[in-house]
Amino acid sequence: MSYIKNIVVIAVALLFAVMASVDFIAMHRQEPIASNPNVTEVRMLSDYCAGLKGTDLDTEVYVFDSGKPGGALLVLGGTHPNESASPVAAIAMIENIRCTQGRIFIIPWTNKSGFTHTSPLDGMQDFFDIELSDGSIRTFRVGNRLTNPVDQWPDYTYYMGSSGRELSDTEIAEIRNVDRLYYGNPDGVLTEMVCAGIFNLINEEGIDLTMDMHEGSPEFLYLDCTMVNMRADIQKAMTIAQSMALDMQFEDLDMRAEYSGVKSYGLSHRSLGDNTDSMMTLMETYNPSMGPLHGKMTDDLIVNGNEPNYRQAHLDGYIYFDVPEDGYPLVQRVARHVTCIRYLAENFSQVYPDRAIAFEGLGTYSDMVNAGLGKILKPVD
Amino acid sequence: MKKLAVLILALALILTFASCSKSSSSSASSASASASAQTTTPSTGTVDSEYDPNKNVDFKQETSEDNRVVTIGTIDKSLYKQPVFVTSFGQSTDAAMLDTVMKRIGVDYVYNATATAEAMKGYKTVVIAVGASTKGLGAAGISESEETARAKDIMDFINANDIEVICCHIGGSARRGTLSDLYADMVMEKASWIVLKEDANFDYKFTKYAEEHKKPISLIYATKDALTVFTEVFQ
Repeated sequence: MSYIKNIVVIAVALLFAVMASVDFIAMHRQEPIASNPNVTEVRMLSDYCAGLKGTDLDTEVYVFDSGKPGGALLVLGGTHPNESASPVAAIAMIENIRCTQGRIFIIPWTNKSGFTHTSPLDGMQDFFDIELSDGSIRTFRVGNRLTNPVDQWPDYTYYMGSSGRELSDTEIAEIRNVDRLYYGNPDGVLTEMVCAGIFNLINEEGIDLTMDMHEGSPEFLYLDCTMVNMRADIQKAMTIAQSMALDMQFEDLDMRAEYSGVKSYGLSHRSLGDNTDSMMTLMETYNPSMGPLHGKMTDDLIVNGNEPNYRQAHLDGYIYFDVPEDGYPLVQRVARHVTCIRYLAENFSQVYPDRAIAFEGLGTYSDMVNAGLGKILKPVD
Repeated sequence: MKKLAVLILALALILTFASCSKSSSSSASSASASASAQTTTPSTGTVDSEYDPNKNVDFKQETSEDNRVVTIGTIDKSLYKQPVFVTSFGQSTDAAMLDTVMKRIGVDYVYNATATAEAMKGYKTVVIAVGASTKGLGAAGISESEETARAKDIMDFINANDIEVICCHIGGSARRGTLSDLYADMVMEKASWIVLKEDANFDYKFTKYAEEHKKPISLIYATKDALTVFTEVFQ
């Protein structure tokens, strides 16, 4: 009798183990991206850092070449996968734009390994769905801001990044954070190889302008803010960014620009700006599903952005950021990122006409918000 | 013993599954209790402003969405002759915004955020963006004491050469603090017109000064409204 009991218990344990495994494996299936005839080429980041080849961190680089001389723009989506507007904005650009001047490089899953796990103790969920205008469903992974420990483990007790950022104690997990390890090291940990790949891409392709798209919780004081750095001429770069901010303000979009922190070593804007010729920018939007006060994690929270707890915290004077009363839908955050990139490219091109960059296909901020993600994103097989 | 081990294993697997499932969720309170540093670690470093944005203040704003510019006093536009020199006291990003504003209006101007006093020779009007930023000072490679010394040199030069000064504080409440206020005080003393993004006036510092010293002050609701007030004066 006890023999049967043991078998039942083991069978139940195996059942749960299989179910959990299915759940984990599903996170390794990356979202399909609808084809766009304007994509010139799809490369891999391992083309720029050979050590990434065959790893879970090797990632696609979508290339748009207008065929007209000009500058080059690099757009980084999914540096932190749980900042959902970032990869979705990158995917929306890949599926819709046409480069009309210069070249554009877009990486939708910068930390591809980060998309394969979540933060279970933060009450995160694995996926969210977006219904398209034809009734089909596109499913996206939420992911985690760090590389999956399955791919890079253990975290050391101490690590000195290439830019001089020292990681230890409570910050040591950041050894799996792409945005702490720039400008990268091709012989370093896997996450650092991603940084090295991007560093090499910028140098080899002559990238003039880079945007690293991020999101943050409302406690963060750099929301609706673009960090800027350029070693050649920081004053000129800041004027370009402030000109973008003014353009966005005239569309009733809060935006400001800020110099990259002097000691923000390892972050893209600081360390790539200091060590390459690209004008580096990083923009943050408010993500209602981030931060410790967020409510139940649902598709509604991620996609429609209804977050009453933070709204109340703002009304009570605890949160400076004016959390929108009607929520902050994903489409608005995606449109804000794309609009920011468009205005940055326009203003950069005015200052450096010989390195002009231009694209079309997604329209204005209002066009995107009015269309909704259901129309912006294309059906996939 | 074996049964116990198997049971513990089964429970561990169940817990693993429960914590990873799509339907896993938590209330605000439980999320708060379990939140790790991961979701709250800022992506772009730390804030260096002395202003506490979470502090509630009793302040009634004159400007609003519908009434974006309020000017108290009369601006004598004839004072502000071109070419104009635009510079910064404190190296905040606001000077770069003024660069953009002047360019869009079509003002005959020169912009140099780190200019020395001698560079202003021959200019009749100087617009100074006041507001300290440690990030900006760091980007410019200037220490606080060097910036303050530069600001004093410029003010001495302006006083000695009868140059009109416009004090421009368009960074809002984030540009309030000991150093920012020091620069604002230095420039307001000589300025014949003050432009202020009004949320920086939460303690009425600027409007009180303007009233006491009978200087015109233009309060703007948002940074973009600087375009409106400077267009009125320079076009």
